[in-house]
Amino acid sequence: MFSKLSLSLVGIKQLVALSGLAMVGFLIAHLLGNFLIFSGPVALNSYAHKLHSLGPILWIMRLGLLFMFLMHFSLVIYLVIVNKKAREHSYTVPIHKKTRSLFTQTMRYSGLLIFVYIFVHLFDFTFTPHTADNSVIDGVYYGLYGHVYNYFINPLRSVFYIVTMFAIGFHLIHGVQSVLHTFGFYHQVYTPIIQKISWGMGAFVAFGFSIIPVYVFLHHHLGWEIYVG
Amino acid sequence: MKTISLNLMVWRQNGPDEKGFFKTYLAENIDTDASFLEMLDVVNEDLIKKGNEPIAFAHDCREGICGTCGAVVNGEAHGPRDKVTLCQLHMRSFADGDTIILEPFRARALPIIKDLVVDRSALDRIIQAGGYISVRTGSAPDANSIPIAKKDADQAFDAAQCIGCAACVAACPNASAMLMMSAKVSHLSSLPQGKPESKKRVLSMVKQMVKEGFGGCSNEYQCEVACPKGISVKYIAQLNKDYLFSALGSE
Repeated sequence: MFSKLSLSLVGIKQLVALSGLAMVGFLIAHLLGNFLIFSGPVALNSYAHKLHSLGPILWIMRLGLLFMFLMHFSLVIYLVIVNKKAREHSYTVPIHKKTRSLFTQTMRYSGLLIFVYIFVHLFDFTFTPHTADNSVIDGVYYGLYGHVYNYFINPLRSVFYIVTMFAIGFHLIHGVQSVLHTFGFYHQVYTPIIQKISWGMGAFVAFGFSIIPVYVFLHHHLGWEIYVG
Repeated sequence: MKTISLNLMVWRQNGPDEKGFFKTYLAENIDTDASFLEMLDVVNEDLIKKGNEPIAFAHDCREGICGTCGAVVNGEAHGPRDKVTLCQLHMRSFADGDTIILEPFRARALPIIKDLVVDRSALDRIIQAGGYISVRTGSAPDANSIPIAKKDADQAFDAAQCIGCAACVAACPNASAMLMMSAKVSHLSSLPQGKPESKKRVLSMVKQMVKEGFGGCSNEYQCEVACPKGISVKYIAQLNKDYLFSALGSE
């Protein structure tokens, strides 16, 4: 069963869709967690603490996510190679440039940027502990909250972060609707609605994540007080 | 009679393994009511008179139903108009002095035979892999002996409009034959006669498509734009669904 499913282009694409969908689920959970930054350091830090105290369950989720990530990336590489090989000689005039969606055309570039960013992100937050150097605001240690806060005070990092978040948004605008098509769902009424939902999810993720560095920037420069609750 | 003159840049290639190149021709005094292939006829007449090799292009019915003709005109399979084949594209779609870049359909699975003529037998082999139903031969069965809902008959007929011209392959960024294949899969599996073999059909047709060297689908939907018969990408979704259940349910 598995060999037949994985050997053909249609089956591989379905595995890509499945792993993509799993990562979208993770991303939304991650974003909702991040929104706790607006409730101050106590809310954000205790959420992070609860997550870490899950122990083995957290590791199962992490390994699952890692598996989905590797599957998505490696199968896409394979598909890109096969698809490139299918047209050895490209056209002199690019085909149908008017009707190709920008988001669909840029899938591999947005994907590549996300791929690179995942490592940057893991290095910056998962593998770098919160220390007195990076997590202190005005002489007070704030743990994860302080770490994120200080990270986004640097505008260069924030701009790179926002660009990457919009790449994720772009990726989802094509990706979410594509998943359903790949699994064989097409409906005269629902498919156009799904396309709008796809847009909505892309925008939600892009703007949702991007609002955090903007918030930190304003918080820092307008001298807002840190809400300790 | 209104006439126009055009600059043609045509892909010339002497044989499958020869190196191709673009050659420029002037098409003068072309009747705007002429079809694109008639315009090429005029250019070829001139080439033959001058003792040159005419431009090779495939054609048969010249009324848009056989699927023999086809080339990429300025980056669009079958040219700039929607839902017509190259033979049904008329020169009134162009303006005097236009430059037309004419290329063959390009895909590894559709090798060039000469100039604009490509070998489309890979599509035939996909059909042979499963795009049929097995019935006993002999006298014709009674009409309407198998009840078929109007909705199903309509859907089958809609999908069956595919003429196998390969414009979907030409327009696909991945040179995939998914639209053509999905039209046949949906045509047959919409009907009771096609149901018994539907699982085997989708698996073996997809397998053959991969073997022929076509690419996969990346949901860009360029095939639907290029299709002269307006085959919808909903049939690709249908194929994906059939494939998923067939592969999961296979032994």
